[in-house]
Amino acid sequence: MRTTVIGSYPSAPTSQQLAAAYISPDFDPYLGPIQTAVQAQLDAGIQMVSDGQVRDNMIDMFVKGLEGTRLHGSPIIIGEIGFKGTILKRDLQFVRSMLPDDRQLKGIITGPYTLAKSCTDNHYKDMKGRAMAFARALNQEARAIQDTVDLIQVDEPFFSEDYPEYAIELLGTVLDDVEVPTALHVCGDVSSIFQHLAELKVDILEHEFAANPDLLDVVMDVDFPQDLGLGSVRSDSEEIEQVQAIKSHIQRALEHFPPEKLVISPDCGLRFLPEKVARAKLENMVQAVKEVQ
Amino acid sequence: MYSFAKEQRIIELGHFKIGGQPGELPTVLFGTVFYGRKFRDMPSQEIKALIEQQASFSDLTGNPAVVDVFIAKEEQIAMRLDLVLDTISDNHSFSIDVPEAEVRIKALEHLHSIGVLDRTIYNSLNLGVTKEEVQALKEHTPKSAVVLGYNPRDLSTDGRINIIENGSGMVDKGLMPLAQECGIENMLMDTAATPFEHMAGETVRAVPAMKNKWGYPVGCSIHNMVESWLWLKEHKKEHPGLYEVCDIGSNGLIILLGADFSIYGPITSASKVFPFAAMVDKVVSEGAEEYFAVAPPDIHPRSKLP
Repeated sequence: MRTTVIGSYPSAPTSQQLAAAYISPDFDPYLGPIQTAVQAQLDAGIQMVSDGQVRDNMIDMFVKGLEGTRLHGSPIIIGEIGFKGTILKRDLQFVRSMLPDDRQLKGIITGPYTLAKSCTDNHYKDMKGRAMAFARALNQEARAIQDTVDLIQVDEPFFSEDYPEYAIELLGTVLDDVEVPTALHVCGDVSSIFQHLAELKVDILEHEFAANPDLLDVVMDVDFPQDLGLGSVRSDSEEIEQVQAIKSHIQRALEHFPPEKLVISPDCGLRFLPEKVARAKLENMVQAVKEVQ
Repeated sequence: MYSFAKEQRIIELGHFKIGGQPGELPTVLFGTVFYGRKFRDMPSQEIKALIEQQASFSDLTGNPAVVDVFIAKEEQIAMRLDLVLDTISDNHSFSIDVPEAEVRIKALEHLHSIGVLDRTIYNSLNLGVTKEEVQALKEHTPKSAVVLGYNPRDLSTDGRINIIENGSGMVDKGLMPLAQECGIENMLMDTAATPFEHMAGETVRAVPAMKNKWGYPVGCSIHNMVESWLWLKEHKKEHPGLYEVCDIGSNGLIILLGADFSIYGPITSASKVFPFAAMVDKVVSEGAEEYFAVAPPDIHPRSKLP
């Protein structure tokens, strides 16, 4: 069984470091926190790591980096959405330079639907129009980073609340011509839409099974071709799951799925947890996988 | 020309007044001493002469002058402040520009010990403020402070306003309520000059936005934008004089949009910045009088340099 993270890790520059960048614009206060986030994942034994998503939150990061969108206190669309250069690659290259050969790296792209739902739209005036415009721009980002990463993950938290009927077209556009393996992360309870998610052309479906244990019963009843990202520790609780409890959770999934179909991860990003808690959760999760294997 | 809907405060800072509607008062100009290589081995007499030169240009144009004292290390505090305070008049305000919080705390203690906190403009209260610094500000409170709207997560005007108003998630509370909690009487809002491609335009746009939001005096060190312009750096030798034109001219951008002060960079530029700022003030004043009947006071460049 493989191990990974969903993305964010609680590591951030201090406000003093951020202020220092005002005096010395060449100083990047985020490189240290990225290094901390990656090292924590490596130390815990995670096989496929992320950059920790420490530079910004998942919406602002893309809104600030794309053509036609702006952050003016809140995200806003002011014109034709487009790609104006890679947003993620520099940090991913930095992380890649830190990784030993036996570890892998994922690139994480916030999905077009989530971005479209998060912005005030002063240009398109219709949901599908702006979501597809985001999808085309994000496809260029995906193609720009694919030579740096081992997998591209698309995050669509809004799918669990409001699943669009054009989801196949949307995700297909984002991942068009992407040759590395792909994953879709949807948090929340996806019981009612899992049948639809199974139709999407991605290699791994990643969900919050620790917070929604009944979801496992739902997916067991669906025949789906993708591998399953099994959320195994909660990202919304500071309680550190014990190794035995995580093992039981994984073993329950193994009763129905072969180990090669499972990717073990936290439920979601760990950004809002205390750093010690996040680290302990990753360590226990990896230990549980070792013991199960 | 324009006038702000929000009532504009006029603050008295020792030897001058600052703020108000466009055209009401001349722009206050802060010239920095001790920052950069040119000051490294400069004899004290030369620094004093530069401070006096700034004062004489201030007398000439009517633009109030403030000496901005750059202090990088604790051991520089007494020497640098002594030199400046020996040179400027006893009723004149001055500002301190200290990058490190620990040194800012030591500087506050020193300013308290020599009894000049009522003349001190603390430059600046910014997102790098520490708990220890807040405590020091409460114990040794300067009468005035520059409040810096630098918000690295959101460089838009809204983002710059948010860091001052509510801390934008990076500081426990907004820098403005923090300044008030510390007992700082006078706040000067700094829009936080950022480099080109880092929303430099928002630095300028934030001037009228902040004026209209709070009515406090607003300004910034817009010359930082010029200083960080890579193309200009690379072509400095090829086009002599070009840097100076851009550096001095940048001050006009914010004055035209209503700025009350400009932290214009090294005090060595005083002989060029003061006449230039005075010229822009004259333009603003003419428009303000024509449309809003704002007559220039006697100390305004329009009155002094007809």
